[in-house]
Amino acid sequence: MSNEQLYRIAEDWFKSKEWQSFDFQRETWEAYLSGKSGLLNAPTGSGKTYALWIPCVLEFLKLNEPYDVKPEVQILWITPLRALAKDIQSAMQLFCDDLDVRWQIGLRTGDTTTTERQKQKKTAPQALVITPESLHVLLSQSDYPNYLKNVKSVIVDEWHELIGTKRGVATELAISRLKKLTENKLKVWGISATIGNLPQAKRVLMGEDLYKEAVSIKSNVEKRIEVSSIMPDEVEKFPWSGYLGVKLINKVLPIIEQSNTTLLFTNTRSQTELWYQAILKEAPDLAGVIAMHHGSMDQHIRNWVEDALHEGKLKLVVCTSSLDLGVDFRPVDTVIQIGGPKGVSRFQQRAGRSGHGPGELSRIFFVPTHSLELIEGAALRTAIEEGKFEQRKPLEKCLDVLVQYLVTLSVSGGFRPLEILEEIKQTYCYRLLTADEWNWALEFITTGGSTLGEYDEFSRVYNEDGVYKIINSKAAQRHKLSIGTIVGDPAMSVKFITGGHLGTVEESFVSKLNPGDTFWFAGQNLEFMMIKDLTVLVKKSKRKSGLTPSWGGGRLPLSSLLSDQIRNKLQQAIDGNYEDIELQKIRPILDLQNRMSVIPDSKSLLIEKVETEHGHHLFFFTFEGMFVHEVLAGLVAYRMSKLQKITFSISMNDYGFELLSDQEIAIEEALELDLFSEENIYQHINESINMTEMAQRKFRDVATIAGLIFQGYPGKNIKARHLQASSGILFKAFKEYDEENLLLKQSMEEVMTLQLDQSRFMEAIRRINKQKIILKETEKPTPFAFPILVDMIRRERLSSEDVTDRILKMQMQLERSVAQD
Amino acid sequence: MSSATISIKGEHLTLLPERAVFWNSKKILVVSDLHLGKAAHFRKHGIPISRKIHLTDLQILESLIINQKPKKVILLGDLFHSFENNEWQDFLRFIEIYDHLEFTLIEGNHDILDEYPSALKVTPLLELPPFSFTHIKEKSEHYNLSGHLHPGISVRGKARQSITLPCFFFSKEHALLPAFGQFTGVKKIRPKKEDQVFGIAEGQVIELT
Repeated sequence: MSNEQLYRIAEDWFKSKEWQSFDFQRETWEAYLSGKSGLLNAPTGSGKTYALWIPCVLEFLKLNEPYDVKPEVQILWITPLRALAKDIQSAMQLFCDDLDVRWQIGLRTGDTTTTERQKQKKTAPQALVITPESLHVLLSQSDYPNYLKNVKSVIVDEWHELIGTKRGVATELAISRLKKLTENKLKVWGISATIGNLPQAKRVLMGEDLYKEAVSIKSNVEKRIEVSSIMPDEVEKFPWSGYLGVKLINKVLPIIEQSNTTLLFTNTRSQTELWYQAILKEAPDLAGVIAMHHGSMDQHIRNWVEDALHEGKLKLVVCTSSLDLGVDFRPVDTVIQIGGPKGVSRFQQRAGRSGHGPGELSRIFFVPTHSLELIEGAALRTAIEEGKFEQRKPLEKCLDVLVQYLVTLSVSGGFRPLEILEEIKQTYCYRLLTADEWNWALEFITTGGSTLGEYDEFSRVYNEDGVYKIINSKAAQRHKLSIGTIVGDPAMSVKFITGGHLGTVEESFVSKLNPGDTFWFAGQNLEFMMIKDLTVLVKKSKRKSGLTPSWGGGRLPLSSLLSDQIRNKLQQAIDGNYEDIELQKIRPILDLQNRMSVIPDSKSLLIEKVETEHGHHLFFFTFEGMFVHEVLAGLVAYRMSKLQKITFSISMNDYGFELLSDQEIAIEEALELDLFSEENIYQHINESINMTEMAQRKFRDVATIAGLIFQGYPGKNIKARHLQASSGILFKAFKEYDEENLLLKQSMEEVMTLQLDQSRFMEAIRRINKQKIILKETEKPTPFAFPILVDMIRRERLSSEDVTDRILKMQMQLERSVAQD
Repeated sequence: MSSATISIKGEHLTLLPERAVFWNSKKILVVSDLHLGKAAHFRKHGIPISRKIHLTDLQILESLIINQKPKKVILLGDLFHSFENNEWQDFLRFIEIYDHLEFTLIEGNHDILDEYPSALKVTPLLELPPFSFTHIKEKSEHYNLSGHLHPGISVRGKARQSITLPCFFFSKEHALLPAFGQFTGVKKIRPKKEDQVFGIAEGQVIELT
């Protein structure tokens, strides 16, 4: 069949659905059918799935009859979220069925049953919708080269979600393997929403060997977005800090009322639980048409919510980022965002969940949770009007992911190092990998990494005549179960004692519960009964009060784009420009800040000094986002700790950071010595990372991904007997006995690079160095300082005092128990 | 380095910063939770932990023996972390060198080896009035000394400072020893008002009140 005939088939199909094909879709079909790879930039709900799925099927029809189907995997469709997989699968299947093409579309995620997997193994489906993790699990099976050799193309959906994460790196690695494995030249396609670094996103996905010839296609489907902030009536009575925002619930309810279906996004799972309860309490008539959706809830409940959304049965769904992505829920016409979304792109994406039809308006309401967040509302609106998007920076040289990948390949029949090295050097992540680093990784999985004989009896991967493999079947099994790069706190499943799975909560939360305690989960108040086989058994409770689990992950840091915007807005206020209604609203707060201290303009850095019952505080308002502040605070604390023997408690938010000490801090002296100097800056940052727990926290993820920490496998009856050790203990052991371990170095570097790219950090330092420092001593914490003081996010400690001195000085407030033993 | 002493039922116990207890009148050294062999067990499962970590444990034990000159050493359980491996040989060589001492192992939940050398006495319970020795805390007519928990204590101070330290714990009827092994963690305990707690920091044993 000619290409023209093929396009006709597709166009006819579109007509039969009473849809219109877009230019970008036809452009993609053509590029695909001429054998090209590329990146498609298209928003959700624009028909991006059909832009790429249709040519996959057309290519088949070009040479085959619709019924002439062999059991071979032709297409790998990678999706970041298993919740999306099902919808994509049915969209794909629909097209095949309508054309009478006898393709099977298989689903392969963590939820796929063993029976289903076995079936897929026996009779391969023609396309697999798969997560990056499940693809790596496929690579750990001995027959994978044969199973995947007929793959024509890999399509990575929602690539903007993966790039910049270790899952993205895992995707790069899998693609590098597939390129060599497949008999035909592999096509690589990505689908991405708009981000600030699309050309780089293309390069990362394609790899060094492919990106130059790959095409970029942009959809012309633009979305109009209307942003409105919900205002408190009296800003004077609106809290200065906090993150719930339920105070504004009475302004939120009418919006829900007037809308068809609303998605209400919160930033954390616990916030979701709290808002759900608050709404039901205020508007009991919503019962039955309100639902909740977050990542810790059971899959079946989530599926039910999604189905009900599709069918228009729900008026409101309170959710987290778990509904950020993917297929559209057509009935949704309004989106509400509680609290700062911390990034412009995320906000846009959420807005886009409403108003899907081409040309339709997306409406989003921003609900601030405290006064200063109103500035964020104004900043978001301006950024969207100016069409600005964040960059998603790709990761480089992740040795933990490399180690995991190499072990994966050792499980499935083994690998030859030179072949794999050649492949991974074509990935963006490892293009600059040095010979030393590569050799270290090989050593690490075979001998443990040291040549000094300290690692006798080490057993993981064996070098058998140049082929690296795993011999121990138990070890292989354990590895397969721990493939993946998402590291969470150990979770336990929650079940009714009478049966029925509700979801998962983190172990650290459960450990605080006593039998009889109640807690809110998935919108129900549950009474904790007991723990049995790693499962939390509960029954329903009629009580009105209860705890709310807090899940890790916590809050996201402000993007640098949004930090810039916020600094602009402050400057605007100083210039007397109160055009934005948000700025106008918080004017009394800004005026108060001005009276108590000052509002820093873009040419000044404000430092506030205040003494409270807790001790001596210094607040630095640098407006750089939490991640930059963490490192910056460490640096400043380190430099000051060299001037006097002192111990600091450090906390931070997106606007600034706080150093707190029990003794007077000699800030005037420190400022004279140039606290922000670029001289020896990296050395000093390294020292400060060493003296705080920053690197140790990163190490937990790194060590888990590299297979050094077993998280346990909920529901899987495999015990890692006597292998439990906290990351802290391992970190100490490495630090003392194997300091050259590259995983340690990676953890250090991740503080620097993952957390803040160095250029952004140096930019901030240079900006600060150009600023005039204003030191203000205040009576009480100011409106700017207050949120940092009370929120206490991410406390770090840094000390230049002896531990014994500190203990003797401390007022011995032992954590004694009041309850009976 | 500085130690502390505590008097229990008329007997003086020295609390050593090496995380050991010395019973002065009887010249008995008590150490708990060495977890030897843990590093090798991890290595066997593909986690490279240096064997030096347990050699350091043994060196510290050796220096205690040289300095305190005990007649008897009580190992308060969890001497060896798991199934036999090379690091068990290191320990056997160690007790061979010090064969003039009496070593007693109070069996802990981790002590699952099938065979122990004759030089090592193994028992689940040892009673030497006024004390009883068990691995896990047990009610006894005597004052009970146990390990197992790896106790740690949090101290808080002004300006939101806090430190967690391994510790010795003494209540009216029983005491907990800190874990001796390097490759172990701590479990925070919350003492009651009448309990006595000694934290260990930078080579010092400090009573916390």
